[in-house]
Amino acid sequence: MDTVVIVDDEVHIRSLLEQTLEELQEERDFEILTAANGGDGLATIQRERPKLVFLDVMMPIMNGYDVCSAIRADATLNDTKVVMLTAKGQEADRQRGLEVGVNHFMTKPFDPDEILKLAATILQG
Amino acid sequence: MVPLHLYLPAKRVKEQLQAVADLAPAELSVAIRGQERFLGGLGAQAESLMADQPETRSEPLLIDGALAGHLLWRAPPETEAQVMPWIRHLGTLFNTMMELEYARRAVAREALESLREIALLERASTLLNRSLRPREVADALLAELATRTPRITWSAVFLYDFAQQEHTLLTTLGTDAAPWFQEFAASPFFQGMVTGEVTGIINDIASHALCTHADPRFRATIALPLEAHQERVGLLVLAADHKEAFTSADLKRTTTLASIATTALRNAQMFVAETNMFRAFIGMIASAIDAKSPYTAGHCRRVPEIARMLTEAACADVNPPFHDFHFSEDDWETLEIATYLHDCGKVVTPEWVMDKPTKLTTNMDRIALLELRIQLIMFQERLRGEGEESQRQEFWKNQLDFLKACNLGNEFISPETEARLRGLAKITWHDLQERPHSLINAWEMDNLLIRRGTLNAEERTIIEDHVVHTINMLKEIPFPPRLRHVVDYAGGHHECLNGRGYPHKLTDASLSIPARIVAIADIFEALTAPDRPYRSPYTLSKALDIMQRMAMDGHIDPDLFQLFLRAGIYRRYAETHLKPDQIDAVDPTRYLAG
Ligand SMILES: [Fe+2]
Ligand SMILES: [Fe+2]
Repeated sequence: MDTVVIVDDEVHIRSLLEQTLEELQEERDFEILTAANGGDGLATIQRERPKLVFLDVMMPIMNGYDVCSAIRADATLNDTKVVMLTAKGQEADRQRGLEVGVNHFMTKPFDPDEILKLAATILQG
Repeated sequence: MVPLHLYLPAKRVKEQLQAVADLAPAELSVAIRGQERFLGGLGAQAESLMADQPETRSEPLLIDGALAGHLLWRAPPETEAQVMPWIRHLGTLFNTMMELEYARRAVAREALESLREIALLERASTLLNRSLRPREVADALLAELATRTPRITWSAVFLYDFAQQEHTLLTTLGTDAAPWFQEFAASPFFQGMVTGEVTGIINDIASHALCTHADPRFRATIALPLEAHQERVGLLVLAADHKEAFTSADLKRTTTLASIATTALRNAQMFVAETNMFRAFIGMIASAIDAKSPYTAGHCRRVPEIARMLTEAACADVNPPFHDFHFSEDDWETLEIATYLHDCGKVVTPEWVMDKPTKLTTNMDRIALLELRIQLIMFQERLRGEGEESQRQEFWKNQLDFLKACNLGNEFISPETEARLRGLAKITWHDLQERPHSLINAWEMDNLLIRRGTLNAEERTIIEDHVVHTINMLKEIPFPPRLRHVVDYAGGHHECLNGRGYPHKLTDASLSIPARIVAIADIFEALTAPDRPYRSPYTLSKALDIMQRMAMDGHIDPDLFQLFLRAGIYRRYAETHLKPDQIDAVDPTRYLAG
């Protein structure tokens, strides 16, 4: 079964993303796992080898860029797609995100339909 | 059917069952089974338990009162008393978990709906407020609706016209939608939409009382009046080709988008009204300048037409140097304003200089004064008893004819003419104190000696200053950035590529293509204008001859002049604006560069 990992230190973002993805679970089977900081997030990702990761930028222990760099450095995670969650107005983050290998960006507050569309495409592939 | 596995994830079931596994009697088999799948179990027979087996017992698992699955179990009859508390405990546990999950999901759905609405509002307000043109706003609305609701086959926005008190079609989306909606606008069903009798979702049009047509392509509709502050702005109509096409979610989304679009449309309408007012002012100034002089009447209204034609030709031309010349909507507006106002500085030019018909014209033609003085001189000669009357008559008639000819300004002043004028200036008349005065005073002499045309140096400066006034006046207007080139386009119409123009002696390095276009339009209009004070109008071929020379000596842009000829602009313009006797045969190949 496919796995999606949500890494964000804010509980409401985790839970909103989880709830959004639950709509997709009505059509297809996949597991949703969450982590509240970069360190736990990376451990979960390396253990579960998810197809898709939603990754916050500013987090305790390890920030999103470093988590993404670590993912890209791990050959077993080649198929893992990373969606970076950026705050509004921080467009400069994108450049750095692209450099560490982020696949997509989502701006908070996010549009549930965009999340669903993106997740559906990635989980299909 | 309620999907049990969403409310009772298999993972959770497993956790709970494992927690009680050691305490349950060994003979007990338990299973949690949804309508279509097995979620987890306990005991050897767990996976084979089914609700319809006589020896299997079951407890219903309910979600919001609806059956979602069963808690199934089987145990030897003698252990029932021991087993029942376990079963009851598990039933309560799972039902409570499901209830909590159901409530959590309901709250989540609401939260996500709000997020969706925020996302939609944010996206729509950026999208729909991007333009101040009503048509573009409406197009953006229809496009957004179409991507969000793929079931829409046709859609249209009608705009309410206050003056006419009717709705007119603004834009449509969908194959052949425009003619269809035009026709539809005459139907009673449409009238119902206008009055509000037909509004919101109509999912089966054929059964509607007002429906008089049977169009298989039009089975369901959403109709929304667009209103801002209780004022009608327009009407939105969505159509689908099958019944029951629209849901209440569609209506909600459409209403949200329509409300933003309505505000944007109203702003656009106000902007259009302001723009129209500004245009009326421009037209008024152009008319004022044209009215100042009967000879240049219509100049300010005809130059824009020629400039537009030439610009269109430059945009359409795929050959160098015009292959990457493009004009945006804003550029067109800039050009229109610039051409209407290119001579606005003439409002401060004295009329008698503007059209100075003869060399001695000030606010009157002073040739009349010369004629009076001649009468006076003849009278004073007679008094003094000088000369013979018939010779006198003959002599002065000749001199007056000569002076009148000099006054016209269409002939070159030769040294002999100058000598004759100076000779005449020596003849005097006497005032009441018997002081002598020359027949021609110094100012009159300077003017009669003008070599070409009728303007003296000072007057030429006054005339040329009209561009300076145009530039200064236009600089006073705080044009928005999209119209920032008005001064450039208008102020360069008397500049030449060779740097001999005025007022700034600009050269080809700094003259934009539109500025060059305005210059050509200005010259062609002036040359072909049907009325001029001191000459009959030029024929088309004569005007083109003159322009050909101007193109060769770097006065006007030769590439644009070629385009002017190649695109046949001179001919199209002549057909509508020149007198028939001006339109002679023109052989464009004579001018086209070989
Ligand atoms: Fe002019
Ligand atoms: Fe002009």
